[in-house]
Amino acid sequence: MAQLLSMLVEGASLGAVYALVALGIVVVYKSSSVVNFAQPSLLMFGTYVLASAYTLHGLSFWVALPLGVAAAAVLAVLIDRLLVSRFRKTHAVVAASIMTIGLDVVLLTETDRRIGSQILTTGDPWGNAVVRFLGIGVAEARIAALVVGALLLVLFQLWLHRSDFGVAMRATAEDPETASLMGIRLGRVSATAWAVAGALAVCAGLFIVAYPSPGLDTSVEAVALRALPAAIIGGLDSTTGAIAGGLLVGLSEVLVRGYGEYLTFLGQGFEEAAPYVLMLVVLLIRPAGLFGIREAVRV
Amino acid sequence: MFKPANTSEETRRGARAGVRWRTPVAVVAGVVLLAIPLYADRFWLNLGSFAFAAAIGAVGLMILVGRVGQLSLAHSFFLAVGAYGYIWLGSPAKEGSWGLGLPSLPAAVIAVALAGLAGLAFSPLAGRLKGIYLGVASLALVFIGQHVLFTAEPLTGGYNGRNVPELTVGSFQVLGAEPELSLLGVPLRQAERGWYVTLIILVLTTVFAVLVLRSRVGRAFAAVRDGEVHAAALGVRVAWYRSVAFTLSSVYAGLAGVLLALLFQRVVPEYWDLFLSLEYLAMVVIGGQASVAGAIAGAAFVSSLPLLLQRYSDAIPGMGGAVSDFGPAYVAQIMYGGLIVVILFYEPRGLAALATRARKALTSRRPVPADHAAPS
Amino acid sequence: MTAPGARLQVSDVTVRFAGVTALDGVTFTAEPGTIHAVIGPNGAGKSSLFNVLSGIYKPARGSVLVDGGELVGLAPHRVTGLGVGRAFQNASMFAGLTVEENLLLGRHRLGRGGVFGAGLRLPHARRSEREARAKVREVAEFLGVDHLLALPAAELPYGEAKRVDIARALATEPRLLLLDEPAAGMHTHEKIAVRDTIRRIAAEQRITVLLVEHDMGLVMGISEQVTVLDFGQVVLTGPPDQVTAHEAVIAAYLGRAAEKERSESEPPS
Repeated sequence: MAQLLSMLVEGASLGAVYALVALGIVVVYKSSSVVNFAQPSLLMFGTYVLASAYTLHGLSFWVALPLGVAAAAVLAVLIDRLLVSRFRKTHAVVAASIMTIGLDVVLLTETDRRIGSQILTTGDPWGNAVVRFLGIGVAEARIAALVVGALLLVLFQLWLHRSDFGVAMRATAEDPETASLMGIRLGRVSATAWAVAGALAVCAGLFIVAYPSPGLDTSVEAVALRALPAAIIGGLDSTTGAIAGGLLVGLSEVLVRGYGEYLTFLGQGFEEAAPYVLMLVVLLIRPAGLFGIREAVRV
Repeated sequence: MFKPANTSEETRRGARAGVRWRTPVAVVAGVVLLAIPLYADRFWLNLGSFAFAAAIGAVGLMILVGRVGQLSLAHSFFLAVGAYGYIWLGSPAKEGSWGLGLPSLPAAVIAVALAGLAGLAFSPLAGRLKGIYLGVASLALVFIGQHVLFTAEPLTGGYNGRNVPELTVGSFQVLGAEPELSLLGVPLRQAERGWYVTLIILVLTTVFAVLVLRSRVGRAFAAVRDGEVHAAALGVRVAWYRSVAFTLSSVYAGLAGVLLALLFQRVVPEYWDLFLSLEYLAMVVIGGQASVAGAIAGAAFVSSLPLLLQRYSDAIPGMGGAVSDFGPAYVAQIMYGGLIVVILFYEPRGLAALATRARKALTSRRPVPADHAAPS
Repeated sequence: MTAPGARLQVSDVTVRFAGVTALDGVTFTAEPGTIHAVIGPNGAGKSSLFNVLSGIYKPARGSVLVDGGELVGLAPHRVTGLGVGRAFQNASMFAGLTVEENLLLGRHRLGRGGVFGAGLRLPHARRSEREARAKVREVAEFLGVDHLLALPAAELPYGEAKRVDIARALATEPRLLLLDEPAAGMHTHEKIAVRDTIRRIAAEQRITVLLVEHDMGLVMGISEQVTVLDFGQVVLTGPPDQVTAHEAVIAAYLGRAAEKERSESEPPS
């Protein structure tokens, strides 16, 4: 029982982290119809800036964190302004999405080179402390991830539903041309979405590399990539879906690892494939994802 | 979706002025390709063999991505199905490793069919999901595949990898040195035979692909890409053709996988990862997405680049030596990734567009024949 | 090409989108070999009706019989099999293909040969391809677009594209031809050509033509029957002189003529 409880807490915590990354993918998709495959590399880049500011340049965590977040946000906006916006003019969203794959390769190759064989830490305030409650022990950083993640997700949803940006983004997702006629500046909507996506990625990256994981190394990108199945499971066009998808991916991963001894027929390390299996199952039943809406046919 | 592809251009050129000067170009290219093994050393022949094998896989992916508008990131999975299918079928069973011990030629054929079956099995999703959605869904196959390859040690040998059975017909080593053969006094050993065998298979599969793309099947592909609702209203079964294209592309991947395994002689699971899929995507994008010749050129470029960088890294400033951060693998990856970005940004029709321009520049110097004038 | 046109029986067809009723109990019959027009102001449901007739929308209620065969519930690609051909409002050509290839797609359902047939040049596939090309040339000549066959479809001017679109629909060998605003955006002399084309299709090929069109002169000049839609309901069906004399039609349609110009192209959402 205690084991299950601790797995659920851990799974929810990891899920909240995936949800943050997936949310970035969904926001960009809704505002520009581009599937951003470069999201994992934004996470790697921003988290590298954060970790290297702390480890290599000796800055305090509270200085390094905003630096990392800002770096990823700025890079994301640059990608949108300099590259993606041009594709939007010709409605070449598939080409733009494939372009982000190339971008992902370039950015990851470069961050991998810089990280090399090092394992960088971020100097986060939770360290390796463990909280004990209800007979279980959970890393403080995991609790923080759950709390901060949930807080960011709530703030984000509020912002989306209350702010002008939220209205503009949803109108754009509905019908870009009408939105544009109504005076919504599509370029600004999209740039904001990319900035948010970059910032969220680093908030997630911070917790992915926090205790009990040893720190930032090149294997983190495979973890970050699991935000893609999370976004698809929830439905690419649904922010609620991103949260649900993130949680499902986090829980499936932790539960499969935790119950690995009963799942030996699936082979060791199946937790890394589990989110993808889950995605296939969901897509077979609901091709647009759990919360996604099937595209309307227009003739 | 994609920019209008060059389907029509190729067919038109083939049907009209092109024929006249495509034939001599093809003859000259053919003679050169057949003569190269008489002069080039092992390095270049191996480079060519790998490029030809990769080109088969690239043509398969091009059909799916460029002609049907469906993204797949699972190409490395189907390459692996071909490779390990062949190893499993063609190796004798031993303690701790699976094998059916079939003769190697049928093993190779069945392995390709297995890759096709794997693609067919994915058709509930390949038929329903569109474009980029399929791309993300297909990621699943790569990760499930990687998991299986690392876990199923009796099949793959785990981290250490497994030897690939030789391809023999009777006592003839198709890719070996026995029995001795020679052409114009040059002995045809492993490297020479590798070059010829992969080249012949590439030519045959390319002809097959071109014929399919020019047929009603190829037109249905393009219709699905350019407007699926309109295609359906004309009686085209959209989901069916998406599955057909996916299956066809997995057959091509399977064949490329068998050939790559034969050339490698020993394969390890980590080779067939997501990055390999991205390399094939880069081949297709560099080639211009929808062009057969482009895909082949893209494959030649992407598959040769790391080998060339390796060989000449000492001569390139900043890359020399094993200590450098900027090793051949780094430079090659930055180049594929960067080229995907740059080509999609500036010239989505890639190398195919360059070829068209070159052809135009050459033909414009000649008087335009009467049938070339555009009808008004 | 003397197969007689199909009888189209639309009964009680109802389509709803998120609470909005686009079609409400629409009922009418188009007799074999006649030209039957559907008119009505913007948002009256004409495009929704066409989308039902090509299997793109599934109505909440009602039935559509083509010579007695039920169309409702069939996937779009199966609808062609009932003998329904459609030319689209915006003349969507497959941009990556030539005009000939576009027309050949009209023959797709009638052709034979899959991947192996094509890739190995098997006899049945080659024969089918030859026949298809001959048929396409015939249709192209009938509509006077044969000189365009080798052009990339993307380079066609709008007016030509509309004719090629009709030719492509004809290539499916329909017994019922759906024409969605064939004269939209055309000059007077082009409209006359369109009118003559439609007449020839009905007269020479004996195909039933169902026509949505805003140009009243064209509609009244060639249709045997006219169905008037307003707010998703049938106001009346009758011969053109009866329709022009009907007060409700004048009120519903001509009274709002000023706002029509652009037709509805998508359902209210």
